[in-house]
Amino acid sequence: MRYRDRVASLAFRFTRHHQDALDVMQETFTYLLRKFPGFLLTSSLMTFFYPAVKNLSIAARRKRQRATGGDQELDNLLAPPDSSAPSELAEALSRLSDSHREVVLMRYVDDLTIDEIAAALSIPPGTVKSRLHHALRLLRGDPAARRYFL
Amino acid sequence: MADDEPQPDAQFGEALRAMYRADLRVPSRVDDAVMNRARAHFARNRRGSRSLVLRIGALVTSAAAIIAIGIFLAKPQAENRAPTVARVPDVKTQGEVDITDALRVAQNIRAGTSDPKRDDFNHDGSVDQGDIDAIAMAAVRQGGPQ
Repeated sequence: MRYRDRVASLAFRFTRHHQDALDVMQETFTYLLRKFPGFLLTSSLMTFFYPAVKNLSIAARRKRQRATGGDQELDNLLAPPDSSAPSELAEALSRLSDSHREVVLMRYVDDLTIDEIAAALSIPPGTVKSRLHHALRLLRGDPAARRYFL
Repeated sequence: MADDEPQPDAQFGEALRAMYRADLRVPSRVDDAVMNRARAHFARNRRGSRSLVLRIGALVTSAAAIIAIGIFLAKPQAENRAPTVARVPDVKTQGEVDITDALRVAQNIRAGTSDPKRDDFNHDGSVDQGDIDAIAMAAVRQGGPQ
C-alpha cells in the first residue's frame, strides 16, 4: 500500500473526480495483481503504475462523459484543476499541449527522472528531454510563468 | 540539451505540487477491497499451482503404472511364446509370430539349417534377411514383445 496515495493522487489528476479516482486506484492494483506470479519489474514501480493509471483514468472519464451525455474527444487531460481563483501558473500550463504538460508534471510533481518518464510513456529519453525543454521554454516565455525561471 | 536550458526555480515545483495536490482520503473499505482482491488472487494461484502439482503427479504415476503393466504383460507373453517357437518350427503355419521367431530364422540362416518350407515367411522362394524383417514387422504389428 506504499504507492496507494501516489496512485490515487495520479488518478485524481487524470479523472478530476473523487469516486472515479478511487475506482481507478482499485483497478490499477487489480491490474498489478493479475501480473503475479511472474511479474518482472524492469524499472521503478511508478513507471509501471503510470500508464495503467492513465489508461484506466481515460476510460473512466470517457465512461462518465457518455453517462452525462457528452461524447466529444477528451482534451486537456492534465489541465490544471478548476479553481475559484486560477493562478497565473495554471493559466500558463493550460496553454501547453497535453504531451508537454504531461512531462512537466511527471518531472516536477512526480519527481520522476528522464529515464523513468521515458519508460512510463514508452518513448525514447531524447523525446522526453525535447518535450521538457520545449515546455519549459514556452513557460519561461510566458509572462504568467516567467517569474519561476532564473 | 542546449546551454540555454530553461531551469525553473524550486518554487516552480512547489507551486505545481500545490496546484495538483489531491487531498484524496482513501476510505478503509477501498483498502479492504484491494486487500481482499489480493488475498483472493494469491489463494487462487496457490490452488492453481497445487492442482498443477497434483496433475503432474498423476501423470507421472499413470506413466509409471503403464510401464509397469507393460513389463508385467511382456514377461508372461515372452514366457508363453518361448515354448511356441521351440514347439513349432514352421513360422508360416503359426497364427501369430513374435520376435523370437525372427531370431530363430536368423540363427537357422547363419547355421545353414534354414528350410524354405518352414522359414520362407514372405513366400519369395528363399530364406534370407527379407524373411527376418517380415517376421519382425509382423511381430511388431501384432504388438508382440520385442
